[in-house]
Amino acid sequence: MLINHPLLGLRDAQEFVYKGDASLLQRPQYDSDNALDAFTNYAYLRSNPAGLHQELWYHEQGDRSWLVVTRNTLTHEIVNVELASEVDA
Amino acid sequence: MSRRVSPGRIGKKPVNFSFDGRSFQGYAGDTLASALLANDQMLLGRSFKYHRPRGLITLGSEEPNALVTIGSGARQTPNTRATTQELYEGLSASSQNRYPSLKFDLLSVNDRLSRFLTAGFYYKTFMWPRSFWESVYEPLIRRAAGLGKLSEVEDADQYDKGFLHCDCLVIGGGIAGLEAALEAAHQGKAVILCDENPRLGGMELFDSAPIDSVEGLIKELQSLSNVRLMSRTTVQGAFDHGVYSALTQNTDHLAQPHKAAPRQTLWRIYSSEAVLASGAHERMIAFDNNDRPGVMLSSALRGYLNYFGVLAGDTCAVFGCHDDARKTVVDLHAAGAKVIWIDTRSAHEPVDGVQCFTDARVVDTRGRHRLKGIEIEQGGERFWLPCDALGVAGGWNPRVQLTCHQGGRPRWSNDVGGFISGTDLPPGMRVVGAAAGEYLRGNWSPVWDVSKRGSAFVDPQNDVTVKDIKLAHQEGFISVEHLKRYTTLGMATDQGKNANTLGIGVLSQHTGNAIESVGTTLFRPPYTPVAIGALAGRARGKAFKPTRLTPSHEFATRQGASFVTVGNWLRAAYFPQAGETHWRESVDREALAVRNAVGVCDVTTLGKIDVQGRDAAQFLNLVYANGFLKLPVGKTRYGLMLREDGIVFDDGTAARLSENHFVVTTTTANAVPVYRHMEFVHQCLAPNLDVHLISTTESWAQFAVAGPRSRELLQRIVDLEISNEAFGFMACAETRLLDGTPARLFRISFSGELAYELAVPARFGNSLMQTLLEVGADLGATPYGTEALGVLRIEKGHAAGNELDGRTTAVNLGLGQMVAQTKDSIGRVLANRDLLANSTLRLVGFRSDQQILTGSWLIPPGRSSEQDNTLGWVSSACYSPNLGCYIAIGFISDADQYLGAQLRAVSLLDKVDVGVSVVSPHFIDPEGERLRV
Amino acid sequence: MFKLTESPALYNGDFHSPLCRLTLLPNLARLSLAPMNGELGRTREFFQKVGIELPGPTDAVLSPCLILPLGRGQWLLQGEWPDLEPINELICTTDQSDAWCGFQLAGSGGPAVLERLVAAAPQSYSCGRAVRTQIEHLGCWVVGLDNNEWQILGPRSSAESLFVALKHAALAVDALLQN
Repeated sequence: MLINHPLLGLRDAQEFVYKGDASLLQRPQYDSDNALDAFTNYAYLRSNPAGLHQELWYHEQGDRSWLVVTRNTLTHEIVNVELASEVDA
Repeated sequence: MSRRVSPGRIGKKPVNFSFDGRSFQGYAGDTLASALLANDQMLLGRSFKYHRPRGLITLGSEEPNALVTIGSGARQTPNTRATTQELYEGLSASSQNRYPSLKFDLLSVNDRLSRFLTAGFYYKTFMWPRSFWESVYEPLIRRAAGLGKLSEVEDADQYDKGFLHCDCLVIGGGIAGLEAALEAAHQGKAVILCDENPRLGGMELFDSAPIDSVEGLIKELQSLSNVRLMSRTTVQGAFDHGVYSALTQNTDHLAQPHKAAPRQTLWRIYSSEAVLASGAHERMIAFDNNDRPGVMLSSALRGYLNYFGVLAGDTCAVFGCHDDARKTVVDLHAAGAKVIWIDTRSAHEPVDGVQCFTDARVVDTRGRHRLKGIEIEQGGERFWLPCDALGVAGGWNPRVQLTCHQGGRPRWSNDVGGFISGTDLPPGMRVVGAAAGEYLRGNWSPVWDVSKRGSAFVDPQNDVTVKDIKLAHQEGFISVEHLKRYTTLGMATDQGKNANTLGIGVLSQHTGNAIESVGTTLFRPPYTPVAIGALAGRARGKAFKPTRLTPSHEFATRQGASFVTVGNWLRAAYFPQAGETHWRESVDREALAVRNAVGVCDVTTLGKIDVQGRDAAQFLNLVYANGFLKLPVGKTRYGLMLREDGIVFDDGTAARLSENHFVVTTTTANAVPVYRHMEFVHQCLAPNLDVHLISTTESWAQFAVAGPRSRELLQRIVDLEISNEAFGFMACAETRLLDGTPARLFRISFSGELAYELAVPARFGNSLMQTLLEVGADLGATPYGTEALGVLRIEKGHAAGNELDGRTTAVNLGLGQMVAQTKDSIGRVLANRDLLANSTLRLVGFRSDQQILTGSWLIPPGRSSEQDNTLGWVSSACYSPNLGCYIAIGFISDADQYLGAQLRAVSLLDKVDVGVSVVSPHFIDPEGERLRV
Repeated sequence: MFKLTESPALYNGDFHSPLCRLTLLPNLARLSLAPMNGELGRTREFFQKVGIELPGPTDAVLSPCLILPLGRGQWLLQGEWPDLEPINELICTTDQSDAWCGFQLAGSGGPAVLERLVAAAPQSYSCGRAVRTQIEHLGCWVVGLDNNEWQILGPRSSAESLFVALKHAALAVDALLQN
């Protein structure tokens, strides 16, 4: 499996660590009225799409970028890779 | 008899070898199969289940029958296909699955019992008594049935791996592959061409026609710098995103390989484009006793003759339903054999001088250890004819295995008479040549099962017959996938290369369903069997994983320290002294030295992370549950890190070296995860903060200097005033040693004693360790290892990895008040959930005069040792030399209620049940006075 | 009075075969450098004034000192770099001298050695380019210094494991050639 790193090009997946759903970028406000519900959803609830899925990968054996990888869970095709720090959460 | 009639395409250089202890001679370029055939050795093995005599069927890697063991001892390789094993001087091979000898095999009695040994026989028969299956039946059956044996000696060979990149990977070096490679090369692409055989050329080499055009192509490719030709290299798998695996056999064909030469190299090949030119292999027809030695595929009969110059019999029959049969008939006839041609078709171009039966079929054979005759059916009549070799042309199976490796499903082509790749190919792959059905479209009439009794073998390696398939179908195993698992059809080392299509054809014929509606099973990697050693590559023994050595490793080795593996680190566990006979003596002495004098321990393995930037404090305030905004420069603070779900992640310290510069420490085990987490928080949650992270774990050698005399010792080392007033508890400083070496000093304590951690650049670490002990000799300075470190922290009641086990919260650890409620931090919101916040589980201590085992469950006296009665568990335990008894820490519910009570610490696994009293986890100096003197 | 002595990353880190030469580099000065937010431009200008272009994500500067891109907005300097005093307020620096150990690999067998160890394409470590990747699970740098000459940086604590990995691959290359 290869990930097309936006700065470094195609790199072998063995250099990366997988974290999970990129919805983790949307961390709720700790002091909002419904903070407990919002954080419960944030920590535990994931959609499990058959198709395009945005997920977080960390280039641990490389430049230590966190990436948002858009991958088709049916075909494993990777259609887009962005730096997580540049994705509008 | 079978014999050599010409040098074929291999020449006449003699090579000596042995089979089952008998000496033979072949030619360089022979395979073991061709050389044995040239020596009239038709019987090569015994079959898996019925122990029937078997010879060879094919001339390639799809061979199901001719499996032999090569070599002996540590280099013994079982289940090697004789058809791919190249001959070398001194090669020693032996047959498999026979006792006492190949010709006289006691278990061939199974063949007489074959009526009973049908599909599912074992499952149905050995049902009772139930417990006998594992202990009696299965071992017996396994001994009787089977392939070659492992030597059970460590593999003496070395293996290798590597990574290759190209623009176009061509799989198969036949004419289609060679042409595809040349085309890609001319487009300027970097090309790799892999072929499993020693010589490029593919099936062309096995035909009688001249091969000038093939040789021309090879020469041209060899002259191009952007082409890499890799023979003896089998592409084994096609994986996501243009990643392929391939195995090169470097030395399997050599009599005396270089001692350090790896036997095989496993390659990972990256190529956005792949051309599958893997060709096709012929298939068998199901007639009774179609497995006798001497019955092979028509293409094999022809290939042995044309390439190796070996004629498989004096009278050769060819049984076909396909044009290909004719090519074999022509070549055999030209070589001087008496040829009989049986064809299921009514009309085809005749060959002069060859006896030909049209609209006919072979229905049975005879001969015990080798074919003696065939029974032919024509026009409702049956008659026997003598012959000693039979070639079967049952049609061709394109080698579509690699097209399936990403879920692609082959589809049936009536035109080709075989399964060809579907449209769902691995991205970037295209299929050319015979693999795509090219050259195979011809005059063909489908013929599957022509047997009289059903004792026709469909999968010769697993001894699956037509009868088995019919039975399985009757019993309801209708799906091909179920049929495969019930009968083991296609599950052998050849992965159904021979069996699958025939099996599906037989099923189609007997159910009356069209073959395309019967379906097919898929193929998975590897394409051919791969030695486990090749998958391991160079990662064996010490090279299995990297080792990390601490800066004072050399010192510790000289001291005769005993080492322990902590992750990849090798740490000194304890430093035995002369006269100490048990590890506990050393550990007790070291732990006492810290409490009474001063000890030195290498703690470099703790993770260290440099956190810098204008928002460094704000960042740490988010990462840690407790506050960091107000930490003054020159001070260190204990930090508690939570996961977002409120469970404790890690703990450590953060020292503020300057306004915008912190040094964070983590536990050894979590050094990498914490760094990853901090990068996550920075890049994903707070990308606008001005924070710059870098790991400095490797850069600094860090030593705990602990004990009442630690200050005295350090004052002789560091160029800094370190009185209690000038350098109080939790102080930190960037400083120098008296010799000018740059250093960092932290007044932090893990042991509960007056203690410091002193860091110097790693290259000075070994020297510093030695210097501390020399300079502090009169103070009783003692090196201590991880064992004493553990004792000291349990005595103090400090949580470590055993307590931060991914289940415990700050509340459980007695640190609930640390989670600041006035700011945002990772895990803060969910830590306040009722479920976690109201937990009554607390960290407590236990004392006993008997040894307490880590992992024991705590049960009130008088209650039975059951899960329902447990109050909690013991997380860390040791003998405390300072208290003179066994102590432990762990977690129990309603801890306040049980403080001072007697409980039982029970380990059912170790059969240990000891009485313990519940106490505070702070066994030593609960008020923390020693830290602050 | 004591005087601390330096230890090498590895006591025996040299290996020669007919096709390649592997040499442990001495202890070298190294520094990580990250411009604070918004200061990349001025940092870049400072380096340009002394004739150095901070390298892009896949490139390396080979002289007057070695400069490698550590990550986004972070570089590793090795050797004798310019005095950074003028930009001290703009940058975060961390001493990384002992974070790494270095090996020099040279010789015509080099490409065959590296293709056994490095998953990344050879172009990524051709002359003037550098790749941060893993070698046998170790986070490493492979830097192309010249035709058939590379520098390999790996974690100092695993200097021996890295050396063994390089040597093992070099031995295999050598033996296969003599086969």
